[in-house]
Amino acid sequence: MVNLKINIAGIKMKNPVVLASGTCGFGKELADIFDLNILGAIIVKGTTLLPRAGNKPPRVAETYFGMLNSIGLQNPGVAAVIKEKIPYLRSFNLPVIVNISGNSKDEYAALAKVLSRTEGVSGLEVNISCPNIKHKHAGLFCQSLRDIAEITTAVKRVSKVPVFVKLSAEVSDFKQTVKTAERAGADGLSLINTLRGMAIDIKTRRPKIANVIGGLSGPAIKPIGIRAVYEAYNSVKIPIIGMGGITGVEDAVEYMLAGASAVAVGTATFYDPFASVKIASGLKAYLERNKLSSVIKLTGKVTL
Amino acid sequence: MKKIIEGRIIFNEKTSGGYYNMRIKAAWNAENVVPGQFVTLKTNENGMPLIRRPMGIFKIAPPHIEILYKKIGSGTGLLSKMKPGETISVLGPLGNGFTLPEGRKSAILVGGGYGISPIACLYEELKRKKVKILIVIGAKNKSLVFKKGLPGAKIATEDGSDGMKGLVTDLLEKLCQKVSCSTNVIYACGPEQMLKAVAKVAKKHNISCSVSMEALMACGVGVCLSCVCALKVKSGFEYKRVCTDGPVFDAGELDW
Repeated sequence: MVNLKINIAGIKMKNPVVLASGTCGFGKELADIFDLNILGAIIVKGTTLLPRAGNKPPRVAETYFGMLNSIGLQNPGVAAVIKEKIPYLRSFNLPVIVNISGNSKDEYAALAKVLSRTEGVSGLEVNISCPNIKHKHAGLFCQSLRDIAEITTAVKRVSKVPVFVKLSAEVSDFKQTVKTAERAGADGLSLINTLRGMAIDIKTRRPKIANVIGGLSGPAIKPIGIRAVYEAYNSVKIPIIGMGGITGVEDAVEYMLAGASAVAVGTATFYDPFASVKIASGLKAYLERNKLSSVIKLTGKVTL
Repeated sequence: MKKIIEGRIIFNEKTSGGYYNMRIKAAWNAENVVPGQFVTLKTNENGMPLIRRPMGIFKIAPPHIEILYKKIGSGTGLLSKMKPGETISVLGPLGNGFTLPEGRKSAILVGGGYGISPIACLYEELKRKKVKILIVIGAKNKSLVFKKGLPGAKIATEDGSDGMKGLVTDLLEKLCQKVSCSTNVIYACGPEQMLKAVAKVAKKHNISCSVSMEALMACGVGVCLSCVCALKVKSGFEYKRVCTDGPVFDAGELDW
């Protein structure tokens, strides 16, 4: 009998496989295809204070072993998320983590305050690494150590639930980046967000996505994600949700060996809605085959 | 309920207008599929291309469905090489199909490019319902016209090599002048610019018009928010998902 249960920053999950933000909506669409209860948790779509229309289409372009997207955080706003989306997810037996995005530390704090007091919300994922929205500074919040510290501190000050800070690997000093989030009080890290990329149609000479630059996801970015999780695991003590190009159980095990306590499945869900379910059952089989009693014994166990 | 099945390929052959026609045995109940719905196909089990390819349903023949496609990229290139007896991962049926408004006894069908596939599917359904059908097809030239099984179709080609020289909307305009706006309905599928022009003609003649939109899609089930189109709302516009809110929309609701 193998044990797939984990407790990550105080959130209890029946297994370490979760759905990544931005690839599972608010759960309803995928619940029409499979039983969400099979999974460890769901990290729902990036939520902002006010509704966001999102970016102009085309919003997506397929690239080698990956895809670029620039959705632009289309979401109905926090009030509608609390009123319409979270109550639906309460009928399932799985922790709901809400991904939050803002333009300032005050916006992040306002979101954290109201969402962390909403019944059915088990955790927050603070997205300070979205490549698709514009900030007052050029680039991403997480490219400034000061912004990481300020936003994380502001969210932690008001949040009643564990806080995961979602970071990009596109920073000059990744170890400093993760250490800054930990020092500011983050309970865990989500690593990694998409990486900024671009694709051009050579017939029309126009960028393939309307927003010009988008976030690269899928198997193409997996080695970068593994490296980031490995470096973070050796730099901080807080737990890590690993993500970036996980398509099968082998990828999930690799992320855990690098240091992840849980893994999030994203782009794979797009082309195989059952990808996360297959990974959860595959993980059990992997543990049995390797005579491991508990999934937690994988975390950080890469042999150097 | 959406399902993924391993569909067995019955045939996969070249047909009219440079298209390929594939028949797949679909284990989900093909009887519940309606014209205008689509499926997504994984053309390669592992590796490239990663993303499923959306395909309008061309024929509903339980327990089979058929699709119509052209070899244009890596996905359809692989698809064209598949042989009868092989299996392919099919996710579907997806999206909302065409509906026939109450009291409409005749329909004008407009198809352009790949849009001919769901239009041909709808043609069969309306024929069964004894609806009077006029059909117009637009293409760049004669070699690209698909008209198999569409008797009496009027053709417009940009170079005049088949039917009338001009755009499909020129043909539509002429037809609309002759029909009653209260008993007719227009159904169109094709490139966005064509649909926009069709919507304009329909509005001018005050004829109810449904269009089936095409869009780049990653998931097909409503979670990625890639395939959006703009719909008019009081405050301006709102992006709706082609895959789950559509692909069929009322032409008057779209913010062209």
